[in-house]
Amino acid sequence: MSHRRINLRINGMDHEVEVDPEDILLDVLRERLNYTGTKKGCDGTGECGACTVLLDGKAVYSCLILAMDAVGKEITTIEDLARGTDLHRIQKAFLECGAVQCGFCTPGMILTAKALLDENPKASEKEIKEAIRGNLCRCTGYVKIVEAIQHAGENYGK
Amino acid sequence: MQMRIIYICVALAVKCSGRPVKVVHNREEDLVCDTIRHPARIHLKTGVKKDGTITARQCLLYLNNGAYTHHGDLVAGAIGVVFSGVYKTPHLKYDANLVYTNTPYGGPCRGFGNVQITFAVESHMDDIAKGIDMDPVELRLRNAVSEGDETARGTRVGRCGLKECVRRASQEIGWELKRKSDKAGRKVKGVGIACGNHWCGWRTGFDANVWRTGYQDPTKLYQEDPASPFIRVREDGKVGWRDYFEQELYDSDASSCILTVNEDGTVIIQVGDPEIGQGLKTTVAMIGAEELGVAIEDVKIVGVDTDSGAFGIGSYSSRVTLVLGNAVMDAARKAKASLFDIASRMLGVDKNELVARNRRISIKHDPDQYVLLGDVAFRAYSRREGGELVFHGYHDPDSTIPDKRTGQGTISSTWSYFAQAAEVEVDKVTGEVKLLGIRSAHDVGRLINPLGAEGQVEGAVHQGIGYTFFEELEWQDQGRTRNANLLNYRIATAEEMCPVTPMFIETDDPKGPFGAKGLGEPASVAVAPAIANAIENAIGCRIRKLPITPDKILNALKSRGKED
Amino acid sequence: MSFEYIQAKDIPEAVMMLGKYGDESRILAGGTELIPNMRHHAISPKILISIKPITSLCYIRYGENNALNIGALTPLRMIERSSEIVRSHSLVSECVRSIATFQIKNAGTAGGNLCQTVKCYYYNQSHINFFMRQSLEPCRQRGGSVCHASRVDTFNHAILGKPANGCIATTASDLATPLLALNACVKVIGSKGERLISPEDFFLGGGRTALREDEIVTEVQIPSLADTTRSTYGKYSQGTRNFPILNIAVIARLTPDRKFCEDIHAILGGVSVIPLRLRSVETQFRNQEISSLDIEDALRDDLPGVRIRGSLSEYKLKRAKTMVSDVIHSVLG
Repeated sequence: MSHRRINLRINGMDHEVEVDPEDILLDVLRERLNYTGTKKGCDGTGECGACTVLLDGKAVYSCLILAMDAVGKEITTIEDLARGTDLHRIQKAFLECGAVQCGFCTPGMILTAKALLDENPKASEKEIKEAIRGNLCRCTGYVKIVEAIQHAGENYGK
Repeated sequence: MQMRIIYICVALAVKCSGRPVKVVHNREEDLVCDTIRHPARIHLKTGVKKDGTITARQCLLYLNNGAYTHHGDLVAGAIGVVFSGVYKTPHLKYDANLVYTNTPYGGPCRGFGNVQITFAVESHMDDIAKGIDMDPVELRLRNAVSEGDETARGTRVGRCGLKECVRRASQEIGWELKRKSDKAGRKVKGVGIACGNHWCGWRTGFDANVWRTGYQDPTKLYQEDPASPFIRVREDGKVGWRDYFEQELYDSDASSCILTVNEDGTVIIQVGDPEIGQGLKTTVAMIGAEELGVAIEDVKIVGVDTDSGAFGIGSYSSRVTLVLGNAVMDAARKAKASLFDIASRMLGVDKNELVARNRRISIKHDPDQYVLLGDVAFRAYSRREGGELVFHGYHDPDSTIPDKRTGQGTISSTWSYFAQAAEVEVDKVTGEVKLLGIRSAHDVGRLINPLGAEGQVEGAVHQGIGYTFFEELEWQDQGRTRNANLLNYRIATAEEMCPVTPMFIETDDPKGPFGAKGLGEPASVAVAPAIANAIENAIGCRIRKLPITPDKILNALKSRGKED
Repeated sequence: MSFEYIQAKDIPEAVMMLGKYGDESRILAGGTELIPNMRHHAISPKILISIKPITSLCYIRYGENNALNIGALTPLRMIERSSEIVRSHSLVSECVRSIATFQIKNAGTAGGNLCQTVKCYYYNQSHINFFMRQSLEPCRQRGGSVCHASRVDTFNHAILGKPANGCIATTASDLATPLLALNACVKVIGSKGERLISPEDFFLGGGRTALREDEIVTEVQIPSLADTTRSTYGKYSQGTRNFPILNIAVIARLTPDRKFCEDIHAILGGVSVIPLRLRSVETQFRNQEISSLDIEDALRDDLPGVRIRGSLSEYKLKRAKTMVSDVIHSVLG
């Protein structure tokens, strides 16, 4: 037994895909299912955060999850946030605050922010920085990213 | 990192396979094989009078070139150019050596040599200040260049906000009070400042023949490929370049764009330089929109496409706002002139009476008389006498190629200036340095996109902080990189950033679009010396080797006999 | 990476599978260590036994005598967020807060954290085909006969004490240090049944634990602390998300007037291959007037025979002494 047909529930939709045990969720998302919003920034060793997705609402590195272990979970990628051209409030905040430069860390950052704000919309600056500790950014110095997350947290969920 | 050989490999792969080709480096390859910032060893000697006036400066530079030369010579040249333009230095000697080592090879990296030399020069300036018992801010203000000064390279300084930047940065960090604060106890605070300049474009003058053929010497090319179309054998049997292919230096720093005003008054601008996240598209759209009097949403920027005909040297050297911005101004002015031609007929006035604003073309002294820009544009397309609205914009700055031997000449038509001040707290028992804040003051000529400009400063300071404290490729015997991953080659996380305060000084530089200068690299340049100077203020020890680590702090304290 | 993947739906099945496949298999819990190690070709198991479905191992409970029992598959982030643990065993909360990143902690488990292999640079490079570069000669951890780290000066290796099977890498588990200070036991289960292992017996250094081939960790049992206990955790690492270069856990029981130290436990991680009990400090400080205590004096016995290979290990020793001093001062007030 190697190859298996599994169902992955991504962004509220079922996806049937054939995988081998060693197939990593990040690669299956990007290469097989075209969810290229999730990025790969390190050698699949959980070092950069660009591959962050939500698994049952919790931020994880998709480069460290076997596709087979993601069966039965609700996977959320960045593609799930906007509704057509209507951006999620966190995405809007990132644009308004100038928190996007090259954009590579952005999907992972936004999902980590979402996981944080869903749990704690009044997160302080310190708590925000702690939460995004696992998301590296080379362009912004994090300053406007933290501002954007704070901004998005105002009236969150209302 | 910039590795031109990759482009050739990709092109060949496409040619052989007939398929689209994508090249991806994994992170290990990136950290081991791609170009790195040149490590440098710098010796400085400065002659200075008791009143603080610099009389002479000598610099001997060794760059660790790595295994191959890839921009090493250009970085060495750039250093010579840039550091001679900060202070008035009547006599300047600069010698640079590239040393081959069995380590990853150096290439362009934000700052391009300016980071290394500024660490040395600005640390040295504080040493000088201490030696003559002068305040470091005062020493800098005394020697900083001003508009009209001539630098050691024979170039005249243009719009220059250097002194203002030094004043602002020192003021904002609380220089007067904090410099002399109590330095007793286990944890001590200190402030430091560093300043510099940076180019806004770069007329490199590299050898075009090498660029086009890979060879400097036609006889060597002939040996490899006698049938090369670039060479010919003359009657006397000597091999030379083919006719009209003379040895030449690449004497251009141009960018261009193609601007189209659509029939509804919206605008498309095809640019020749790439958006890499620095905000080129937004800045350029703002310039075009401002000039044409339309809203920024009306302007669509089409990115770089080698099929498009818009040429640009590239997004580097902090050149894009100035050079591409000017090219867009050029095209926008041409567009406006054509639109005004049509509008003047519609409104029955001379075109000098017209102004473009808010999607309208109106009469200056009677703004209630106007035509919609969209209607003017439509006429251009719909009438026999109209004419198309497609314009080429081009700008080549009035810089000159520096002489390789004397260094005379200016690579950039204007220069940006900046000063960065840092506040630190040093724990004298653990050696840990806590960064309390960075104030970064920049002469930007004219601020076009404030949010984007702040982002550039904040991001560049992040790199400066990494350069100062954490980032070090660890090589061991035989040049093996042992920390080729992002866990052990550490860039700052959000928790490791201190508050960063960008400040902008507008000097309205006539060389740039609406007076703007470049800002891509400057904020990465003076962070390390500002921090090193702040540490010196706190504990009286000068750290001369980066990165600054706790063990270096404790060793320095020990040698001063000051360890608690 | 290439392997077979099977899931164990409960503990008996996991134990049975481990027994059946032995050395060729590995338990997959959070995967935050296993997968990077497999990518680095540091280990190449033929079979991965995923115990993720065993939800019965994910819990935070208080048992007999208010002992804190944490299921082995409890994600570290759940431990971090537990307000009860902040109240009852703040040492654990502080420690977990300093570990890695949220993403790692949402997947990584308590049991997994304890069973980590070494994090020495050279271990991860001393094998064949490390991505695209030539490997280093296999080190002792990899069945070779060299230790690359012992030839250079680093922050990340032991500066005193004996190597563990020739390896001088320190214990990578952040939790090992506070668990030793708390005298927390590790409950494991195998084909021969359940057993409780004391923390001193559990961590063997060199990335090895007392687990037998067919055993898995099921629970961490942490004794309750008296109300008069004070504790502090300290960590020195390069970067806020990195492994500890040094970490320390100190628990002290003081008299209500805080003038007398009735009992003290002090564990310093990072100087030796297994976190070190500061016995001299404990003996000298136990049942003593706080004002009479001399930390430097006590440390002289606890940090002998230090292997200084250069500026970094010299710094590490200095930092260790400062850390012990700072943390003990803060606990004793």
